[in-house]
Amino acid sequence: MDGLPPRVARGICLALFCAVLPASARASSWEFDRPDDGRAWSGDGIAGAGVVGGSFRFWAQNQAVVFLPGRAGPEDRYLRIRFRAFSPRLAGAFFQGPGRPPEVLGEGTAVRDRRFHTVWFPLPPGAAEGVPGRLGLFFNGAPGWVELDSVEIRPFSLPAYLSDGWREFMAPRPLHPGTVNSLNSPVLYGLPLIDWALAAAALAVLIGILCSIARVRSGAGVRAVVIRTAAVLGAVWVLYDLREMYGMVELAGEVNRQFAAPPAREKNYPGLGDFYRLVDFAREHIPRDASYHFYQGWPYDCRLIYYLYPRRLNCDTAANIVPGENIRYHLMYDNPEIVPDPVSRRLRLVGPGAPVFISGPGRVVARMDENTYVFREDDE
Amino acid sequence: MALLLKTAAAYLVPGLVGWVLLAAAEGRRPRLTLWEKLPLAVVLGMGAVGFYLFYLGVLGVGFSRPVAAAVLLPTAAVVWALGRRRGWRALWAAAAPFLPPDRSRGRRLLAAAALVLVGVHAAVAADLVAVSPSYFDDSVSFWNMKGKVYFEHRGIVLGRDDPDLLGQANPHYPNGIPLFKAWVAVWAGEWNDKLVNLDALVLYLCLGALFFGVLSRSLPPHLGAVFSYLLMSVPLLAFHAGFAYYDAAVGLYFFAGIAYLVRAAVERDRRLLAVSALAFAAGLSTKDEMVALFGGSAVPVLALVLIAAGIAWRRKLALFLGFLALALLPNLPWFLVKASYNLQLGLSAQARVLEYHSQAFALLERYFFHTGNYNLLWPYFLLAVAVSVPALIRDRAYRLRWPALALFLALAVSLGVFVFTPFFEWLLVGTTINRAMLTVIPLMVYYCALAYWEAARPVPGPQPEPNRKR
Repeated sequence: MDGLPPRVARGICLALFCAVLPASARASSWEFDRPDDGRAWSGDGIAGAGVVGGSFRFWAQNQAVVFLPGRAGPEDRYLRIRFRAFSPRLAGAFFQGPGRPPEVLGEGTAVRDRRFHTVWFPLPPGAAEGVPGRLGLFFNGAPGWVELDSVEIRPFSLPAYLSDGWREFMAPRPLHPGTVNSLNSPVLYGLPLIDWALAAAALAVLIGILCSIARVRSGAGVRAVVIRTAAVLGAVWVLYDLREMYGMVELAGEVNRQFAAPPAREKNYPGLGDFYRLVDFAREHIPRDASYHFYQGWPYDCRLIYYLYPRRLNCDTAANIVPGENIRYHLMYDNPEIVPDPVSRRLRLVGPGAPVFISGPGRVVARMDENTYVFREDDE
Repeated sequence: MALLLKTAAAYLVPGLVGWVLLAAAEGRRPRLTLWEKLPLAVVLGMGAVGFYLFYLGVLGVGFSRPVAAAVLLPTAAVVWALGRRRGWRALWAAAAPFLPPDRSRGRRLLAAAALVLVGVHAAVAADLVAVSPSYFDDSVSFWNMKGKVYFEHRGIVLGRDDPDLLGQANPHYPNGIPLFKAWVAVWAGEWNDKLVNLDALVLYLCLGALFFGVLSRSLPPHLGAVFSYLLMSVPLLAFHAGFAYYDAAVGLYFFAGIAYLVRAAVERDRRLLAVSALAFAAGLSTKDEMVALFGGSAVPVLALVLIAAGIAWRRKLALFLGFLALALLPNLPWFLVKASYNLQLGLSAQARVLEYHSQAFALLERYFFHTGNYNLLWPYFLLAVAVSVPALIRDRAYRLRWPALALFLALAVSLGVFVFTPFFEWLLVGTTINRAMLTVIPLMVYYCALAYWEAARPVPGPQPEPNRKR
């Protein structure tokens, strides 16, 4: 995580959700090993919460807050959370004392990633001394799943802190469709590595300047100092680059492990999952000269237009019965909101009330999984 | 194996075309070392075959392997004419390395270490090209989509109502890169993501080699190797090499254009002006950003270079117009097509509004100094600017002043759109600002190298004898 500013949205979010917060019972850690572990958790802007596979998983809307069902004891100085977000989020923790505005303990951008990340938030003195109040986490950003693997309110532990920090630092670079615009700098104990490097370079330059001044006063030349300072600056660059190289090697390894090496049915690509399997599937079952409907947006639609060309994509959201339109194929991708209706033999939007059909009669001609298939309308 | 040979041909034929273009530009006496000539030949050739396919496409000629191979006919004619006129040796000759090889063991080790580090970056990029399908948005929606449409149609669709008009996706976008991809696919006989995305890696390697070649004229080889490594290890630039993004391609052509423009000015060699103009010609067909850099940086610098040159005004005008003609004429058909189809050139109409965004500077500071895109390039660059002030003042030969001016104008153009136009929106969301900087980063690193060398060298280093031939 590295820092990001939109404090206004965060402030509004916290003010809305934390206006009246009752004090709660003392508790210290949640591992979410049992289904009951998530029961005491509450929040706002969340849906579908539950304990799944050892983590507390919930669907976070644009602005989501979860409240910890416990508070700090006298010895507790830190809030340690291990989590992952499946959509880009501004994530952080806050403490709300009685009658006070929420106090943000720390925040940063959490990128779309498949890995769990561990973050330590220092608790304010009020919380650490056991003053009534409430701790919470916020996740603002694009709606998506968030998973909490563990949450602890705990005393400081140097080995645990160092271990967590090093693991975070050595985590491979996340690859997602936005990575090409800006690369993250790995975080080393709360600061991006680039900031550590910047500090080291600034120190080298400062020492170089002081040495140069001293040598000029003693009548000596400064060339040797300039060269040594440049060598130190070069070394700092190389050290940063070694970590960068490691990240890229790991990233390439991940692409190899998940995408290149596995058999066709198990291929996954970082950030896009089984999308490229969908491409192969659709190429096999939609003729080259056909047009097809597709019902999802970025990052899938633009990629399908390219990969399936010369097949032509028609992206009319979910109301595709246009008189005179002769597009018989419907490509469904992991979309449980549209189902083939066995009675009418048409595609139907799932929802309350009268059924809404979005296709003419037809049948599923090929299926990749339960919610991914090619539906073809009958010839007239 | 057959596919490998076809792909090799797809890259070798443009290299040959580019080599002949360079030979024609250089004249009897070779001006470029192999380190410069080989990468320049490849990147100029890539641009040249892009123009070739575009002209054929506009004329309604279908793309096929024989048609693609026919580019060798005019090339052979030029070879024949040059060989007859200047001697056959001038065709393949390259200038001797400017500085002798370094005999110091420590310096050779330093150069070797730089090469190893560059090798790791290149190997990772090569692995990603080899195993990864097209992944990022612009790869699929701009370059590859257009290229695939051209390949599927075996030509360029010009019907106004056709959904595949000018490559379907973003018809206003320049065609150099998509058409080169179509060229590769025509030679390979199939549209294969890995083969058509190889060009990003080729451009990356050419950038490194050319950068070393150019620097080796001013710096000892081991420092040339070190600064080439610094350039090729800029994280975002190395990342793009493996994922078929082409902002750095603009940076390559712009750097080549400015480097030879400066050398032409310093050595008073009009032949090098032609090399510069060819680089800009190819660069103008890659991305619209090059139009802004050409108009906002290269042309003003060229004008000032000529104004400062002690030659007759008529001669100055002839050189100026000749340069513009060489750079712009190959692109003229594309500009005419754009005009006739009323396609956007440069910023959209909504973005052509002057407005000041004071928040831009804080965002730029964050992106330049606190993200993982540039390593420590920006602080080192600012330091280079500071240490270069004395050298700039005493630089009577303009070896540093011209690159400084070109870089200042390029940065003003590149950053100005984010600070003074509604394009600020893209700075706010952080999607294009870092990529946009890749267009000027090669020149920035070049300036850093010259500046630090000027600050640290004990005595004036070996300099070329000014060539007074005109």
